Amino acid sequence: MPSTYLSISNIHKSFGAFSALENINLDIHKNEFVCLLGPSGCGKTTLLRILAGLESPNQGSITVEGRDITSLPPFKRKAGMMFQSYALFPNLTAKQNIAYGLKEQKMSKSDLKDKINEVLSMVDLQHVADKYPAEISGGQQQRVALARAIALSPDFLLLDEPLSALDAKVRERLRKGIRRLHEDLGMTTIMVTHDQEEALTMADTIVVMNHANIIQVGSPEEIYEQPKSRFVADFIGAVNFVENDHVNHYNDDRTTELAIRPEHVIVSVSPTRESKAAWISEMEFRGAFYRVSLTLDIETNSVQRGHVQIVADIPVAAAKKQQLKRGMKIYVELPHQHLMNFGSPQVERVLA
Amino acid sequence: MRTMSEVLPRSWKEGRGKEAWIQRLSLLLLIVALFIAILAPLLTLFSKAFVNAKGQYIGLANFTTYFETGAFVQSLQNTSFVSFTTACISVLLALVFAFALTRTGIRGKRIFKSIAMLPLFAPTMMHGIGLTYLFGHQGLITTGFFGHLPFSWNVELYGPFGIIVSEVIYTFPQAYLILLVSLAFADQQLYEAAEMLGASRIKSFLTVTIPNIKYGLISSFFVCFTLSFTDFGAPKVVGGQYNVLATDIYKQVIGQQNMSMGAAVGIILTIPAILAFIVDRIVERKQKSTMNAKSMPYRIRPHKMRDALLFIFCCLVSAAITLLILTVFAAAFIKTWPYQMSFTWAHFNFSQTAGEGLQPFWTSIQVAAWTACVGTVATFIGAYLLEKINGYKLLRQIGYFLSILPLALPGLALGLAYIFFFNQPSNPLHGLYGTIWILVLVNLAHFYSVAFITATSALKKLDAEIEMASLSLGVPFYKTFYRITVPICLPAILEMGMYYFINSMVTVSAVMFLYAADLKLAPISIVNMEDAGDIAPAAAMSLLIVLTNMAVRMIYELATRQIRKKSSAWQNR
Repeated sequence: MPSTYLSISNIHKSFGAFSALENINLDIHKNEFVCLLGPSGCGKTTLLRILAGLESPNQGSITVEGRDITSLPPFKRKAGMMFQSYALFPNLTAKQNIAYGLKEQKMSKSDLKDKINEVLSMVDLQHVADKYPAEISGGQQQRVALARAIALSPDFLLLDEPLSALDAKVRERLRKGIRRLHEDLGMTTIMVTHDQEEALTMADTIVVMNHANIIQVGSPEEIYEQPKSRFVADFIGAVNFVENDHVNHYNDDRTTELAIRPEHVIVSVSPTRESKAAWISEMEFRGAFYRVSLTLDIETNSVQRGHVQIVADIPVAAAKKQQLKRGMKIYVELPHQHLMNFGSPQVERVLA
Repeated sequence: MRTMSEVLPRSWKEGRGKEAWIQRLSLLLLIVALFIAILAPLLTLFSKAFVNAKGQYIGLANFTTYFETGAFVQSLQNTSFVSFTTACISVLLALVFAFALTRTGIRGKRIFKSIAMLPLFAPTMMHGIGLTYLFGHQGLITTGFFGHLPFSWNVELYGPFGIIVSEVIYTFPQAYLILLVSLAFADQQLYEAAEMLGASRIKSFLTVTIPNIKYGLISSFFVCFTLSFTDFGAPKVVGGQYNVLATDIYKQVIGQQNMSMGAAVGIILTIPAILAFIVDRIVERKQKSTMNAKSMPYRIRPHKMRDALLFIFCCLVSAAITLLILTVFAAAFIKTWPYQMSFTWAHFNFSQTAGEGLQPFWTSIQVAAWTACVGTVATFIGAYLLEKINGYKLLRQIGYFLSILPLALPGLALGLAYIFFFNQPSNPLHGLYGTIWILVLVNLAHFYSVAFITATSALKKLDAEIEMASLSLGVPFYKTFYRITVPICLPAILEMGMYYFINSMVTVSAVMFLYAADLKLAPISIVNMEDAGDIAPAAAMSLLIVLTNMAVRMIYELATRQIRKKSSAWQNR
């Protein structure tokens, strides 16, 4: 396990009566790509701004390699930051934007020129060097902003929703671009996003936040496959929640809530030992698969009598082979190894 | 499949036909009206500049004479110098003032804002009169508070100094209003980016703030330059022997009845206004908002030193404006400044003066009220026709151009143009000449553009699909106009009315050539009284105008507070 590089301990922040961050503790390793993920208003951007020095915490401290930077002004922290609006100076060209911070360094003219060219080529933008922000596309603006943030060779890079203003196609391409740059430079990167797909594809470590708290920290696989709470399971990916007595996997009296991802639900036309009868109430074509809504025909002994709805993702080929159709009666199996258990729903609701 | 027209009920189609006719007709009417009120007089003015007193074509001879006459060239230089200096000082003061109000945490912003607007309520003569009482031979400051202070300060008021100070006071609110808007919006993230890249506060001001308000600065400079270039009131009162173009026209036309020379000077006077107009159009097009959905509103950061300095600055500017108005206020009630400093109402009895009683004041109110009513209705309908009607593109473009053309016309030039056009006996509208209607009409033309732009921007905020929706619901456009459009735009409509009223109360330039002997206006009676040496009554009349305008403004504020609450209820969530 590599040692801690950036350490956030016991950070509290409130704006008036509104509590934005409560007791935040987080350790980040050198060269790690961390995504702060959560719904809007969860405090992720505030945390990033505190790291940048644009906001000061009410309590707690931040250290980089053991050095306390909590009260340092933004520039002294040696952090590069990319803003949501990119914050490119509209009256300066791409090149001048990148040179803006470099000029504050005592640097010779030729060094400055070399550095600008180096950074521009890193983001592959030499051809728009002399263009103004308004003259280039959103994706190019984003890369200029990125180039400006890394030009000063910061110790760590802070990205505030860097891709949220872009079209889906451009976004996917730039995701790879940022990730590649991170690997090339080996720069510790902290990115804020509300897009779970972005977090899953880019991060080494995902920090899931909600209501001013960190809910779970882990690798994308851990977060997706072993969510520790109902909130995390629900926020990342699609999920079905079912009560234990509907599936009878645990033979105790507790009303336990279980969850399963749609892709793990097994659907077949003939019954098996573990399967339950259901009918297809809806089929939604999603390109690579069908998202099939199923109504389970369960005689429930719980308070909520009636039908239980779950969704299953069925690959198109399988769906075609089984000739699935709306209204069709089928059999559903919820494999034991894929069921996620968060304990009783009452406790869970308090946590989430 | 049936076609659209088959599906539509017959009555509906007929209704559309009728509506289209109404639209076409109103649009044509609008353009004819704009032509009569603006373009035709202007063309007459231009043609007059190329003829001699007998009406024979003499080409550029008027202009050649002008540039060969030393006195004229001198006053052109004087005017340029005064206007340039005014514009520089005014923009600088306005920039600091607007910056203090938008980007710092100083206290008392509301009161500073109100005081900065005060000069707009007064005719420019009043600034001159106030200065006379402060810096004139018997002025409060010249005499060191009548010898009560150990020091005194004697400046040569009559001449460039007096004119520049008056014009700065006159143009300051205009520049301030433009810069206030420019400074109001900025992306906080730009400032944060500059900070993270190591820029100092000064560097961030020079590289972020200034470029962001560049166009506001250019535009306010041109506005101040033009206003001061064409102003008549202040040079008339404190100009002394220092001639400027506006007083030249007055002498040529009123004094020597040399109409064609007046026309030539009028055209020269229009040049900077036209330049300003062109610059403004270019700037308008270039001024793109740098704000987007991801921008963050500017956050004022605490900085004690900056706030303290700027608070003192705002206090000084406000004190200067207040002092000037209070001086005029005092002068209006003092028996004989500085010898008999006792209280009197006598100056408000205008019957003994060149002002000819209180009648000019009532006439002014009448003209201002008519201009406000007719102007607001006409301008709003005009803007609506140009903004919301589909088709007739060429007609609408002509209409739009004529609507903003008055921006490039100084009042003096417009007034001259009106004499030339309406005073021709062959003109069927000759009957207007000598009535209050020509005064209403010239004010309307003079102030049309600003009101038109207010109306247009209010209309632009309305979704174009409102008209489509009402069409699809089978509601005729004029019903949608008064059921939906007018109520939503009511705040803008009231603002236009107030703008027309206040400006009609203070203007002297255009109406100066047009009033009939029995229809004198209050600002004109100020000029006459001041000319005759009745300074205290002139101060009293100025005071009446200022108080009337403040009252109108207050009524407007109260009315809009109620209406905004009601008509903006749909905006509250």
